[in-house]
Amino acid sequence: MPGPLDGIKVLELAQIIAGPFCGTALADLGADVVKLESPQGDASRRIGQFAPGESKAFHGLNRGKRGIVLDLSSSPGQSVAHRLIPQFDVFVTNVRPGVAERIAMDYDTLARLRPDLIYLEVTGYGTRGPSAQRAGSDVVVQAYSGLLAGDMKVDRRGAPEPITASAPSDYVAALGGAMGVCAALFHRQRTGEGQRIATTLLGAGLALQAPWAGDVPVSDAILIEPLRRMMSEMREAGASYAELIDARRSRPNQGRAFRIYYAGYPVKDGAIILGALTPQNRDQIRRALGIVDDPTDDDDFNAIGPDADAIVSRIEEQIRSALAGGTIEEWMAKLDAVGAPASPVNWLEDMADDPQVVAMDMMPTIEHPLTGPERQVGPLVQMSKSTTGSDRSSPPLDADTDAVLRKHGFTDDEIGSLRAAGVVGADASG
Amino acid sequence: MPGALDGIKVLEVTQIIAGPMCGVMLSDMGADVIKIESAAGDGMRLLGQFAPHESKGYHVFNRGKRGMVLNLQHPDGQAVVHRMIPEMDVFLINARPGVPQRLGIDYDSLRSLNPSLIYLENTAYGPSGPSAHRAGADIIAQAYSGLMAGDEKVDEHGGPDLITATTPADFAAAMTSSIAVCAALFHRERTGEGQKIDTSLLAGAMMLQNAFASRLPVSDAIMLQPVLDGLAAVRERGGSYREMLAAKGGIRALVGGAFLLYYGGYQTSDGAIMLGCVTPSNRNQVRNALGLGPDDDPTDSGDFNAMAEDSAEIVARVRALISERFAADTTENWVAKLDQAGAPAAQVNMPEEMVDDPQVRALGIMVDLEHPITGPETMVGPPFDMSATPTAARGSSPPLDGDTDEVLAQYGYSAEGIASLRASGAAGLPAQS
Repeated sequence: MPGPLDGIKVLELAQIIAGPFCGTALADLGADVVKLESPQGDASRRIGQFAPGESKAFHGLNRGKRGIVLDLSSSPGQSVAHRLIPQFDVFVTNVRPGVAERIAMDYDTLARLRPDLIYLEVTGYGTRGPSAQRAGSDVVVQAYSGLLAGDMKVDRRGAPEPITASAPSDYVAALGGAMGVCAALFHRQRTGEGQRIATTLLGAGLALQAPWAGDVPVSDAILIEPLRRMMSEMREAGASYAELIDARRSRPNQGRAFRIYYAGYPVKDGAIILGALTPQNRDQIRRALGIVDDPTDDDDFNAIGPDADAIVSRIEEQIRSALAGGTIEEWMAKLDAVGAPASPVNWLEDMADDPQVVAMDMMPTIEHPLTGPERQVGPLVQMSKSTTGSDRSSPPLDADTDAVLRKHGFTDDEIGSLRAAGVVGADASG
Repeated sequence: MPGALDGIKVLEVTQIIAGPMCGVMLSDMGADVIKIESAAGDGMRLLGQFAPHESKGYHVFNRGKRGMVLNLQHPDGQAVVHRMIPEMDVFLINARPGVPQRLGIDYDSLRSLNPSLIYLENTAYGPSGPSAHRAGADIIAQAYSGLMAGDEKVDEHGGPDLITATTPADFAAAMTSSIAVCAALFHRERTGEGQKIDTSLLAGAMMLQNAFASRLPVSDAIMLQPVLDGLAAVRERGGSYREMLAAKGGIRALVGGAFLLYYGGYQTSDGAIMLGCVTPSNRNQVRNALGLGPDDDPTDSGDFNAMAEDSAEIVARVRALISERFAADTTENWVAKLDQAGAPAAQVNMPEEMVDDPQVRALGIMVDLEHPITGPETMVGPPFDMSATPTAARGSSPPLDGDTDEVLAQYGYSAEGIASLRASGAAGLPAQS
C-alpha cells in the first residue's frame, strides 16, 4: 500500500529540528522529500558527530529523504532551485525571517514559478512583531514562552535549566507545520489552490501550555491573579530566579490532593509513577497500596480548608512509605492487577528493546549507506489503508545531488560545470 | 475565507487532552466538531473546576466545538451515534482498548454504516502488545517512554519529578492524530477510501525523543555504551533513582558539556537568561557579546577534545567565566547585547504572564472568546496560519449538554423523539440536575 501522500514532492530547505522533522513526518506519510543543504550541511550533522558529517540526531531527524547540495548564496545556485521548483508540490523552510527573500526562495518568488505551491515557513517568533528578527532556537523559546519556568528546574548555581528530555517547541512546530501541509494538500485537491503556511516556535510553546497561558477572568481572580501579584512584588524586591520558582512551586494549591496520585515515588530499585486522573483511578491505587483512610475524594473534603494540607501530607507519606518497601516488579504487578495507571520510570537508552515498543514495531531497522544498520523511532501513526514509514535512511551529504538534478532535466555536462563552479555539491576538498 | 477543512464533520468521544486537542485543531482548520460526553462530562471539566463542570483546561481543549450528552451505555444512546455516523467524515475516540467494542462504536460497527469514514483511535500504549490494555495517562507515557528520566528532575525525597510545563505525550499524540486525519482526508479525496488510524501516547513520546532514542551501532559503541554500562553498574549494586540519574548525567556532561555551555541558562544580576546556540557562529556571537576571546574559551577550536581527561575541567572553567559575566548585568541589558550580536537568547518568562507579551499580541497567538456561562476569556489560538484557508478559533468550549437538542434536531430527531431520549436517560443530563 502506498502512503497517503504518495506522489507528493517536497523540497526542504531546513536545518536542526523544526523544519527537518516536518519533512520526516511528510516522508513517513509517503511524500518524496528532497533535502537541500548548503555545502557545509545541516548544522545538526555536527551535533554529536560520530563520523564526518554524520550524527545520530541528523539521522533521526532526516530519515526517508534524498539529499542535494546547492549554494543558494550564489545566483547560479538560485537558478538551479528555481528550475526545480515547478515540479514540487510543497516547499518547507525554517530560515530566519528575511533570509528567504535574500536568497530568492521567498513565497512570492516561488509561487510565480509554481502557482499552486504549498509553502511552509517555520520561524522562532513569527514574521511580525518586536521579536520577529531575533534569533530563536528551542531552548530560547522554552524560556520566552514560559515553558522553562513552568518546568521549574533550577541548577545548583541558581540558573534555569531547560527541559532536557526533548525539544518541545521544535517538535510541536514541526507537527503543526506537517498538519498545515496535509490540510493544504486536501484544500488544493478540492480547489486547485496553493498557499503559504506559517508556524512559529513561540506559538508552539504557548499551545503546549494552553491550559495555563490563557485568561479566564472568572477563574483567574481566585487562582492566577494572586500568583501574578506575588511574582511582580517579588521581582520588585529583587528576588532571584530560584526564589521566584520556589515561591511559584509552593503557592497554595487546591490541586495538591490530585498531585499525590499523579506523581513519582522512589521504590527499592528505581522509581514508579502514578498517573491517576479520576476518583476510580485513585481508588484502584488505594486498593493496591492498602490505603484505607484517605478522605480527599469524599464529597465533604474541602481542598482549601485549614487542615487540608496536613491531611494530604499524611496520605502522601503513606503512599511514599508503602511504595518504598517494594520493587518495581512487585508494585507494577499489584497496580496492573487493579487496572491503575502506573509505570516504572524507564530509561530511554533501554527503550529500543522494550517489549511494548518491539510489539508495536515503533523502532524499525533501516540501513544507512555510510554507517550501516540502525534502529530508529518510526512513523507517527499507523493507517489501515495507507502505509506509513520509510525504509530510507538520512542522506549522506551531497548523496543524491546528481540523481535529483538528472531527474529534473539537467544534463551530465550541466551538472559537471555546476559542480566545477561550486554551485552544486559539497566542497571538493571536503 | 473558509478554513481548509470547511464542511468536514467530526464526531468525537474523547476526554482529558489527547483526543480533545485533536478535535480543537480540526476545528481551528474549519471542521464542524461535535463532542459527545456522558452525563458526568469529560473528566477534564473537574480538574481545576471554577464553576460547575467548567474548568480552564476543559475550555482550552474544547473550544470551537458543539457539545451533546449521550448515554452510550444505553442502546438508544448508541442508536443516536449510529444514526449520525452516515453524515460524519471523521470519528475520534480516546478510550481504553476494548471500550469502543463494548459501546458499539468500534471501527467495524461504524464503518458498516459509513464505509468512507475516517476513524481515529488514540490509546496509551497502542492497540496490541503486552501493555496494550494497561491504563495510561500523560505522565505514565512520560515515565514509560524515558521522557521523565531524560528530564532528570528529582524531588526532595529522591523520587522522579515529572515534566510540569506541559503534557508532552498528550500533545504529541493529539498533533500526530490531526496530521493523520488531514492526510486521510487527502487520501479519501483522491481515492474515495476511508480508513482506521491508530496513534498512541507511547508513540508520541518516543517521537519526541527520536534524536536520542535510536540505536546506531557505530555511534553507540562510543557514546551510548558507557551510559548503558553506568546504569547497569548502579542497578547491580542496588543504587537509587538519583544515583542512576547521576551516572547517566555524568556521562552526558562529558560528551555534551561544551555544547551545553552555550545551550543553557545563567543567572543575571536581576533574574535569568537562556542561551540557545546550535552552531559555532552562534557561539562566537555570544563570546563576542561577553567579551570572551579564544584564550578564554578553547572549546570550539579544532584541537579541543571533548573526550580528553581535562575537558571537564576546561568546560567548568569556561562556565564559571560565563556565569561571572552574566551575573554582572541585568537581563534586559544582556538580551539587548545578544540581540545586537544576532545570538539566540531570551529572558525567562513566566507562563501566567504570557497573555500580555507584546510579541504574542503582535502575532495574534492569543484569541478572545466568549463562553456562554463564564463570560469573556483569552486563550491560545491555532498554532499555525494559512494564507488561503485561515485557521481560527471558532468559539468557546460547550457547556455540558449545551447543544444536545440542536444537534439531535439537525440529525433528524423530532421534538418528541428528543424528549423521549431525554426521558429514558439516553440523551442529556438527568432531570434533577
